[in-house]
Amino acid sequence: MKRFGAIAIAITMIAGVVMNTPANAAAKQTLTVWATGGDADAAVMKAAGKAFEDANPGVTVKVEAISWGDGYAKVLAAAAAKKGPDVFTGGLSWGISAGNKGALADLRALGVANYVQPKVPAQIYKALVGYKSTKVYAVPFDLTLMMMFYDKTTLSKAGITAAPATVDEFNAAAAKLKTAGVATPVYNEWGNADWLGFFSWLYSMGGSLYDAKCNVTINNAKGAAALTQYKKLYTDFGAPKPGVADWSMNDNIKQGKYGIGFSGNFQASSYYTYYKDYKNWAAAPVPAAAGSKSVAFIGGRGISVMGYASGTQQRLAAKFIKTLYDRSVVRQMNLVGAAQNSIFLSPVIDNADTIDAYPADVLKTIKSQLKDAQGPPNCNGWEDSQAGVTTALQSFLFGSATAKAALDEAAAVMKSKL
Amino acid sequence: MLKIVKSSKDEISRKTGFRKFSDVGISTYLMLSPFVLLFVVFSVYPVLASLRLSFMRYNAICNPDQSPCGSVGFGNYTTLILHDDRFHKALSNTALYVIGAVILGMIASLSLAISLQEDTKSNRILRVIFFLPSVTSGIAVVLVWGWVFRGDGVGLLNAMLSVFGVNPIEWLATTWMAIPILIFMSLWGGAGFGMILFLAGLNSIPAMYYEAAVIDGAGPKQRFRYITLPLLRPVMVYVAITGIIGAFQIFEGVYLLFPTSVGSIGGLRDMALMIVPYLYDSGFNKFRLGYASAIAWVLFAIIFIVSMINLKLTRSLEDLK
Repeated sequence: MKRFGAIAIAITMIAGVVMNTPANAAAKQTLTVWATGGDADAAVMKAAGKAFEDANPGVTVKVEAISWGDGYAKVLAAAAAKKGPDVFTGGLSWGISAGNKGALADLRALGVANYVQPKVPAQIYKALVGYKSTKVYAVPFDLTLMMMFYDKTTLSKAGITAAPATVDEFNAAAAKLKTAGVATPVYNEWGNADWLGFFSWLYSMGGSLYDAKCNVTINNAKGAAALTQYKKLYTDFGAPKPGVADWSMNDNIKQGKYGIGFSGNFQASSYYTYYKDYKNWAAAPVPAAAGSKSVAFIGGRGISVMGYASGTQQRLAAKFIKTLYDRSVVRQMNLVGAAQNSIFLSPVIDNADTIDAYPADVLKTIKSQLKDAQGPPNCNGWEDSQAGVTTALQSFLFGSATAKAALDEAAAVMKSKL
Repeated sequence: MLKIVKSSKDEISRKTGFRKFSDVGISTYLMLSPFVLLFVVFSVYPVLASLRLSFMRYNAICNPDQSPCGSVGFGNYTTLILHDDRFHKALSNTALYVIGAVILGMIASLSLAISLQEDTKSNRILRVIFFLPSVTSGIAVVLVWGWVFRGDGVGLLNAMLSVFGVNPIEWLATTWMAIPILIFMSLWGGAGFGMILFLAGLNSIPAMYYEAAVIDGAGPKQRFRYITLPLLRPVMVYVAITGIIGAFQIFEGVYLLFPTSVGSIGGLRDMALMIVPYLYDSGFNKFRLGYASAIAWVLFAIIFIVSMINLKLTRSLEDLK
């Protein structure tokens, strides 16, 4: 009799659990987000998650940081195992690349693409959508913008009264810095001696990697002029090669050891956290050739939804992503970011106004540079061409090849991957 | 009669190395089974699976038998061997590295072994010191070398050279220096291990040969040429083959010291790109697992052929005698 009673109680308990499960599951949903970057980036994403949780009772947003170095591999590994996040942020080109492998959900079908497209600059949106692709696997999450950084006193001591705006002015300024005894007149931090560092020079001197129809255009006269100018940074103005540079660009600019540094707007975040009392730094757009616009390389992160996530999770993810363009959410993210050395730059240009950590002139530079910035190409094979293009460029930068020969080699690599 | 048959059976099994199942008993196989199971699951199956993948376009996400994945026949191999400039660069860099690291490594190991052969207290201490790098974490060692070869004034080597008024040298950013630096690191890390093997070989050579040679008037050079080297040949073959296999598989030094800023591997102008880092880049950065598998099989074929040539040459030399 006792045994019968025990069995009856056990059956009742199991039945209770089973019957209650669907109700609980419906009431409670967890959205797992992988934020590529560091802990600071995860903290910024958590601010958005908190806002989403407040607006959607019963939903928990779980944010985990993954590193830039192996983030892409982790996302693909998660896709292969069909286990991991619902949403992730990552490099701008990851969406096209992972999407074409079948790892991601189509954001057009989820209603995200149409929502985001009118809010962000066309050239940035385009960078995340494959050429002639009918599907959208990522939309812009945040932006990283190539800029020129300098110390006002270092420049004025060298007799430079304003930030160089043209390539000729830049060359004159770098020569003056060298004459004035600045140890490293020019420093490339972001994309040093590779395609990324060359990109802004190429586009600001009227060149391009591909045309609008994805024909390779890198190896024309404008490309050769841009590459010759890029080489000057190393041969004439002492820019250190990769693997040689000192630790901190900002620290060296502050100490007057570096004259002009090229890096992303993430350096501006650093000035406002680690160098709060340092008011003498400034940022300016990258120099352009006479008659050309200043076109900075724009990187940053896209945001995508994993293809293996259930329909319910994908819809929840889509709802979450849409909130990331909301001015009040961006404001919350920026408040957290400013305290964490990771000021968030929304792809909605006007949302940059919510960054009250930056002085007005820096904010103005960022906003003006954003308007004409260009993201990485969306042409087929670009992801696989990058290493070959960089090697080809370096054969001129540090080898004996001519600029034309180096660019022809780069073009051959790009064409072979199309 | 029965005895004769049994003993001839034993003879056969001794010669062939095989015994009947009933001879060894089930307990032997049961005890072997955990290893066999793990070996099949973690070695045999992955190797065979990678062979299959090497004939496919595969990225771990798509169905291996459906587009965009699927069979490409020998496509990965032909692309790799005929059209992939980065692979060709990796191959030539690796060949240079293997030749330098193995030959210089053997010379350094043998020199150390001969120098420290005498069993004195100081030699025992020195042997431990030279052997220590072999048991130190590879990653940690490479990171320390990174500090030694830093290209600015902070690098240890440049700081030392600056005492003599030498300007900082861009060690890791000078194209022709990459492979010599990697060879130097391999000598530092591997010479001690080779030394131990050569010491064992040297100590196994009977002293009477040297005594007889001395009586016959042979000098140190002749004793080394006609006694030490021939009798050390088995150890040299072992050190050479394991050295070649190890050198072909160089990875940490390239991965940590010669990255590029856009997530690729190999340093400026691919000056330090080697086969295994390229395999890793293709397989685990780009997830071109079929292509990476093809690289792995080409690497296997190269190591196999080089090892066979080495063995053949050694046997031929033996036959010449």
